[in-house]
Amino acid sequence: MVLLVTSDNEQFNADKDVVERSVLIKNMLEDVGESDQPIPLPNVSSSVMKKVLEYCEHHRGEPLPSADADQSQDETRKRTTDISEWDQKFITVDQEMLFEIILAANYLDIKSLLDVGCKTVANMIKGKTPEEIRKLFNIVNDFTPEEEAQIKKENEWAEDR
Amino acid sequence: MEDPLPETSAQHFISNRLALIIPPARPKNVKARAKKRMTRRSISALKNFLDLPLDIIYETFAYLEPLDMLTLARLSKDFRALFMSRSSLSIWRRVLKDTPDLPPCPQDLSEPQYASLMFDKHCMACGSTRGIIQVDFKTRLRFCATCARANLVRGYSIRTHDDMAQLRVAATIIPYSSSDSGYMNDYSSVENSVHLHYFKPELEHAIWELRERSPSKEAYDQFLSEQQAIATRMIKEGAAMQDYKDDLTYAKEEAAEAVADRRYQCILEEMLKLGWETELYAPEYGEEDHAKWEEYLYQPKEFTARSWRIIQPKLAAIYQRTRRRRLTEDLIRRSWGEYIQFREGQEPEVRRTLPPWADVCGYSFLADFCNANYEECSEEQMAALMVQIVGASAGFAMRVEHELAHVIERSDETQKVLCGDAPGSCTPPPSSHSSVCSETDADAARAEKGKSRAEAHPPRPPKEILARAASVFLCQCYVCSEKRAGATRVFGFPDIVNHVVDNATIARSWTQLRPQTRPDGINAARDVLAALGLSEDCSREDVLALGKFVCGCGHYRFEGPLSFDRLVSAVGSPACVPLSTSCWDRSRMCTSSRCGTGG
Repeated sequence: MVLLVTSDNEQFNADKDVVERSVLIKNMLEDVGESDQPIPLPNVSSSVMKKVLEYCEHHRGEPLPSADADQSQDETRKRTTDISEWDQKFITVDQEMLFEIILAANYLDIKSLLDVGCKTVANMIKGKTPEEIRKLFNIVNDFTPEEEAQIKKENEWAEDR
Repeated sequence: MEDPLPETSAQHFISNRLALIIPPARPKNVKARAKKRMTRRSISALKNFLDLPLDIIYETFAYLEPLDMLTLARLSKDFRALFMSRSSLSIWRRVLKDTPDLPPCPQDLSEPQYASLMFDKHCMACGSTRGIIQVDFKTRLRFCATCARANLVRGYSIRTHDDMAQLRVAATIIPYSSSDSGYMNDYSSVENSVHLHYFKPELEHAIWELRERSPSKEAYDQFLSEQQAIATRMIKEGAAMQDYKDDLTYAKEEAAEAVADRRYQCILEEMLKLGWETELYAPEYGEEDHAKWEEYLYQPKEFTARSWRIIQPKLAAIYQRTRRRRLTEDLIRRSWGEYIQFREGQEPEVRRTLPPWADVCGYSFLADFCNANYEECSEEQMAALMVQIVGASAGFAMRVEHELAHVIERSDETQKVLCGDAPGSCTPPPSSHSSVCSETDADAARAEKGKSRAEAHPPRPPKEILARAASVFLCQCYVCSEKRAGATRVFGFPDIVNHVVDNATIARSWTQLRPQTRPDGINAARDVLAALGLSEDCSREDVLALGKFVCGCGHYRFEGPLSFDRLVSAVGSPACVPLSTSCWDRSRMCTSSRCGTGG
């Protein structure tokens, strides 16, 4: 068992093979060796940690993607935004939590969870009109109507204008 | 593998062709939009979104399509600054690379420009998205019809700017417009002719550039070869883009068709579950409701329980309507068959009182009968219908008699006008004596003549007119027309009624079948009667009592034995030529000798 301490000082006990889905924790455990010392995770709150552990628990035992394989996949295969049914259900959270999970997955280096988060955001954007996306992410349109008409025509790099 | 496109270090003399586009005469209205106030929540959310580390943002957007990237770049000034910066080049390249089969980004376009050319829909001149907006991949432009007319012109249309030779050269250093449908030179710009369409400002610019370089032959030739290579590359890239778009359209159509097929099958299965006999009662092409039925069934949308709930009542209504119509048609066909059979089983005297089926179809009770029994109709119900038809047809026989008597009377009158009062003895019409009389005198004389004729010949009842042997009708039914052998068949009453009704097609009513007669037909009958030594007013019964006849003309077709009607028909035909002074005497003689009957 591994003891994890979150930013709000809450402690989580988890199996080693569960927490080792995080490359960050796995490396830390390898560095410190067998120890009862708690592992501090100052960038992850308890609510987010709970979700992260739920994800790691569900995917326990699955092979971890190697860095090389990941790179080759990027190069050779077209990226899909398909998400498994369980993951989809898992990631159905409010927007703030979604961003927190993405940040946590990035910090803890859990590639598969980061992918699920990024795909979810991408799916929220795909095929939507600018107005729909603005509404979804509470983005304010600070263009004047004239500017808006003009930017549709101008697609060169800002540096070239 | 195709040869890779030539890499050219030279730049096209136009770096931003969008700046040269001729805008519409009157700019399209841009809807004024109230600027929303930025709320506390929106600030916070925006912060959250853009506060994600840049690598995560790029990781996320790598899953997007090029059009989504364009959309993001137009969300707000912050997003525009992020996405339209060269620091985002890698993500643009990745998104374009991950788009299946998309040709590489052309050298003369930036990645966002390429994405916009390929996936945006608006007109580059007026911004409109309505109507037909066509992309011209070779010139990298997209216009609505109006703006295309202003911006894309045939090369020769601007020849006033310079001489034709200069224009011909200028046309080879720029890409031509794809709006010249059917022109397939995708190999070299040197083939460009002044008859093709070009982006007008670009062509004008090309002429100017050439003119500027004309003093130095070396500079001129170098510029020419460089720009021709660039234009050729642009044409080839444009052709590849067009192919990609065509394939995409085709794939989309195929996918939509597959979805529509799936939906069609699912709906058919649902109909089967409801026990609908769609093979029998789906509206067919040309039938009412067919278009709607197909529209509901065949849509490029996935079948869902919700969509079925929406269309099921509409389909049910069409199905029931079609089923009812088909069953009713079946019942009408069956009733027609039964009626024909029933009519054929009757004696001639009864048969002549039964109208053609087309007239029966006009009886209102038939519609009621079909409405009540289209689902199922027993033999008893059918028999009852026949009884009902007989009852309703009581007036038919009387109507027929009146009409046919009128036909004979009219023919008689025509004959009298032509030949004077003595039928059968044709005398020339009155001489031109009348032409010297005054109009009033002539009218008075006609009125007087009519009055005296009415007194001499009071109106006779129809039965009496039709009972005369000379009251014959010329048959025009299709059976007689087909079998006709030179002679027009004639019939007396009531044989004519049964003959035409028996041979009537389903669609012909009595009004359409009503036989006619002609004075020459009646004259032939009178001539025969005269030859037989009978009075012209003698009854048909008297003549029939004489038996069969042989025409004395000796023609092989009229050797007989002939009925009275056939004899009249023979005498009226041009084939009948008298052998001696009186054909009719010989006829009578032959009748006596060969058939054993005669007058």
